[in-house]
Amino acid sequence: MKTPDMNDIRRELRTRYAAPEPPPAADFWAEANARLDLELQERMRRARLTRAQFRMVWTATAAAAGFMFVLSLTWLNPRPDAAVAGPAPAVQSLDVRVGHRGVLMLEGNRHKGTVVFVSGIQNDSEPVPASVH
Amino acid sequence: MNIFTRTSRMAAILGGAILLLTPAFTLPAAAQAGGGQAPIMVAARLVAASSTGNTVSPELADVVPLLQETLRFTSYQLACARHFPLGERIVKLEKGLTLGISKVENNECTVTVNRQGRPLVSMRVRLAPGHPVVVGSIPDADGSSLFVVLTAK
Repeated sequence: MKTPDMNDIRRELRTRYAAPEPPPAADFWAEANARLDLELQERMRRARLTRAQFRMVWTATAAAAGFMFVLSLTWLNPRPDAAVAGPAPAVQSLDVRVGHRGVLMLEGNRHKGTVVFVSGIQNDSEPVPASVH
Repeated sequence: MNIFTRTSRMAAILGGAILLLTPAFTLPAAAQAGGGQAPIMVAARLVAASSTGNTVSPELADVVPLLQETLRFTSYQLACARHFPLGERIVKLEKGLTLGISKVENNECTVTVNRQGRPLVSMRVRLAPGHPVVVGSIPDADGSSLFVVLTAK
């Protein structure tokens, strides 16, 4: 009995288990391109902002821009009411033109206002010359 | 929705809001520059205060808390009230008193309290809404003390 060598074994295997026919080149490249497209789409989807994220970013940007706009207008054009109200009213100078005992300047603590209390005004006194305070 | 369509819509909304808001800030300044600011209205009230009785005129409800906080009278009666735009003028009150308003600049003016034509007190005041200025006390013939209350509106 002849002992089969490796060449016999290879030959026998080729006859029993024939290699499959390779696919046509066009089909191979079509499938490869399709897989590549899918991979690129997946990468783009991961890199792109979602709709909710985009809306959030846009809303925040618009709100910040609007706030800066209103702030700049307020700073450039102060309301006239604020200029009229200004600081608390005050008696800037006082001149008592008749004889008197004393003057008290009172500011309300709980209720806003200024009270100038001139005590001992003498009705029949001679007028006092005007002075500048 | 196309991303560019949405961006354009948001930009249009923002632009519209800016156009609507701009006049609210620019018109008051323009009116002020053009002299369109309304004059300050002043109320001058003559109050007779005394320590007899315990009555308060209802017309003085806005200033009586201040008077009661700073003065020690128990009765406050309104003698008269005058309302006028702030400007140079003579305002005639009751009990022989007159007010001379002069040197008006914005909300500041010089107020002189006269009695029978004689100046009693002259002062430079800055008037602002919600902050009355009171000057007195001028003795009256019936024993009460007279106060002039100036308020701006």
